[in-house]
Amino acid sequence: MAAPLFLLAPPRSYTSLINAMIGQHPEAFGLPELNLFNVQQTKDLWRNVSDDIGDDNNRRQGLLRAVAEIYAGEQTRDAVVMAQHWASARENMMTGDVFVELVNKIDPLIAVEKSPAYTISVDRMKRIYEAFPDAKFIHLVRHPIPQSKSVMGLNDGIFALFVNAIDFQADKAILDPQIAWHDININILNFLDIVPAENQMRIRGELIMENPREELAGICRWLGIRDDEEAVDDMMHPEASPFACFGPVNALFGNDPNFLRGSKFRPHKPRLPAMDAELPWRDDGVRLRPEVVALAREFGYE
Amino acid sequence: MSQDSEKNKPGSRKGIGQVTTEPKSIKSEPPELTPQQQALRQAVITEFRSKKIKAFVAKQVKHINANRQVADGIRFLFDENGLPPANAPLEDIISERKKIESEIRWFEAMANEMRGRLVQIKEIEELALEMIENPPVDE
Repeated sequence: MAAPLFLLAPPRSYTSLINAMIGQHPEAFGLPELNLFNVQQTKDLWRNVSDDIGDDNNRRQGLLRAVAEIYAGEQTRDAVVMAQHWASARENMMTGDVFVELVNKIDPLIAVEKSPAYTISVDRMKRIYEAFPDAKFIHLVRHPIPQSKSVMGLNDGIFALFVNAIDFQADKAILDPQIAWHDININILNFLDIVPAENQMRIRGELIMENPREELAGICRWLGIRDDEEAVDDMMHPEASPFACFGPVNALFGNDPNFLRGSKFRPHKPRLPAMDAELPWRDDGVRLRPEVVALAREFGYE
Repeated sequence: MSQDSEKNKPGSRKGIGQVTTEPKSIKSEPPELTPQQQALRQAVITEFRSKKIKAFVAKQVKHINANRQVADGIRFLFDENGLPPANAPLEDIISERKKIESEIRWFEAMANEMRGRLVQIKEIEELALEMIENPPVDE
């Protein structure tokens, strides 16, 4: 069984795009967001956890679409109904075992997955490692200011509120997504401390946006798969992934809706703000915290 | 152990906030917050909710018809020619709607049936308990 690859990153860090790009390699299979390791048993995915972030139903749709595609070779209403039965037959199984079953089914292709929800908890990431001790991990990072701005642009910053990224001052509290950027990246670093160095790499998402061919070829060499022009050409077309579009009406999502709507990749050089730049989500002149700046510098941001 | 070696211990990097690692809902309070912080956090939630309600009311005014409002919310699913996604043709959307309506009717009928049975079994249970407490006296 080919060891799977997991992308670990806070939300809004180019994960959908880069997951689909790597997944388009002829020796890989890019999955939608399965969210399996959020919970211990499959049936727990069918339990409502929150009425605050989107619809709980959405977090199951990636699994249903993946099962439909892998087992039925198509994503239709009927194939999704089959996938619901497939999941139902495995409701008492540990989610790690269910993931192993999927990975075996697509073997020898390398499963590539990213569910940003894994990174809010070290326990969730440890579940991945328990199921796949030889898994490889890419820690994908993005500059804290554009990432935080993007988090705040999504549903008025509900994610930041959900994880309590709040700056408490003497007489008021302000939603500040840089806290989530910092602490989620710290979660990832703490988790990666238990993963052998050769099974992990860190990459800045902006580098892939700017020099996709060189960076993707580098990832291929690290994974031990083909890095020729033809393979990299395939990776430049994330829109060709069967999961880079809306699914059937009973499992429409399984990924970021913006990505599902248009996933064509255009190389570009993202503009990186200075570390002492104004923060678009703060109107009180507060800048990045020293801890955030230090971590961003550790990741290679100037 | 010195402060430096503690810092360098694998897996021991510290966060700067009280980011919840297993959030259930924004309603659940992180236990490590002081009472004052809890009150401030509640104020942030109230402000967040009032902003959402304002945005909702603004949309309602724009689209008095609730169905049109829903349609507006999912417009992003359709392409520039107004066509639904390739994987979800109109026939499937209509058929799925009919299936859900039929399932709702089925579950409502089931719920009614179960409510009736619950009333019945409660009466039997009450009577049985009463009989145990006050057994009938043989004449």
